[in-house]
Amino acid sequence: MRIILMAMISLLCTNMNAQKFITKTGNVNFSAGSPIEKIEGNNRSVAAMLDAKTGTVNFIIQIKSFVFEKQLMQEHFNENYMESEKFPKSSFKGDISNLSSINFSKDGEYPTDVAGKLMVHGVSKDVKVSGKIIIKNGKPTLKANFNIILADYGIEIPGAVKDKISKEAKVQVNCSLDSMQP
Amino acid sequence: MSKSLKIIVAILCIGIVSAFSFWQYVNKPSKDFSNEKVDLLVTVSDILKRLDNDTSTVSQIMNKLMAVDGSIKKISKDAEYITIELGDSSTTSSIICQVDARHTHEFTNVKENDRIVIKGKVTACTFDEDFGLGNTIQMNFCSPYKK
Repeated sequence: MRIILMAMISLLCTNMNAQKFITKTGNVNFSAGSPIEKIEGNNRSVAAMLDAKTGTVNFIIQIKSFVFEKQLMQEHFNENYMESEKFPKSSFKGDISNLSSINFSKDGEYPTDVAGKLMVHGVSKDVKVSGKIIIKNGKPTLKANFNIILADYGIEIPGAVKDKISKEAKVQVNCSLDSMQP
Repeated sequence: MSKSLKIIVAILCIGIVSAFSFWQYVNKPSKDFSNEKVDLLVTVSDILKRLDNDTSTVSQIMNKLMAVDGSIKKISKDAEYITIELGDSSTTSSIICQVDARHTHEFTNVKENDRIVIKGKVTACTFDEDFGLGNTIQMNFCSPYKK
């Protein structure tokens, strides 16, 4: 009887965890350049979590882990714009608005709307993002493209480089998640 | 050549050299750490254990060039980039290594469970934040460690 009970609890725990998906190697990149200069940062160490049962999504991005082609850009990004010593991470916590239209057990591409709080440079704002969830072999990939206005997050662009840096950053999210192990 | 012409030529030369130096400074590519001497060499299990037991480990390794010896838990590849997660299945804590794009060709044949020694600049140390992600060390500009 005890064995059956333990097996049932174990099965239940496994099932509960199977509804959660995580990654620590998600990709978020942004571009905020202009026709004069290409400015692109790429971060492939993004932590993301999706709870398929509740529709909650979480992203944590360490600012210092963004990589740039040019050393000076990397320094300016961390020291002058994002102040990464003071604000080491950005995050997003939100909920999928159309959770019922996503079948996590069936391969396919599902348009997805997420509403939540985006925190960048220590400033938190409500945002709505449209993207898609691609299910393949039972694993979801989260994809989204959206823009953020740098001034909304207290990121100031000095007058000397105003022509080189866009007022809006284009953000691309691409995170392939794995089932959370029990 | 008159004296004034010499002065003009000298000013022009200085201007050209200065402009070129400035252009080089602005467009200098990100540093390649592959030939740099590491600050510390650790195993994955040792450094994660240290992080678990002593939070001062963060200040000891942040911004340092660290070489890590351990097994590949997960590897994410696309056309241009490779990201390697070092760790083992007994814990969700791990080390994330973003391979320097200039060195991706040196990792094309590695696969999950392979044991490697990789070095990179430590950019972040994070503690479990209710997601069950475990503790994480992040390294950028990673390349193979060569003694």
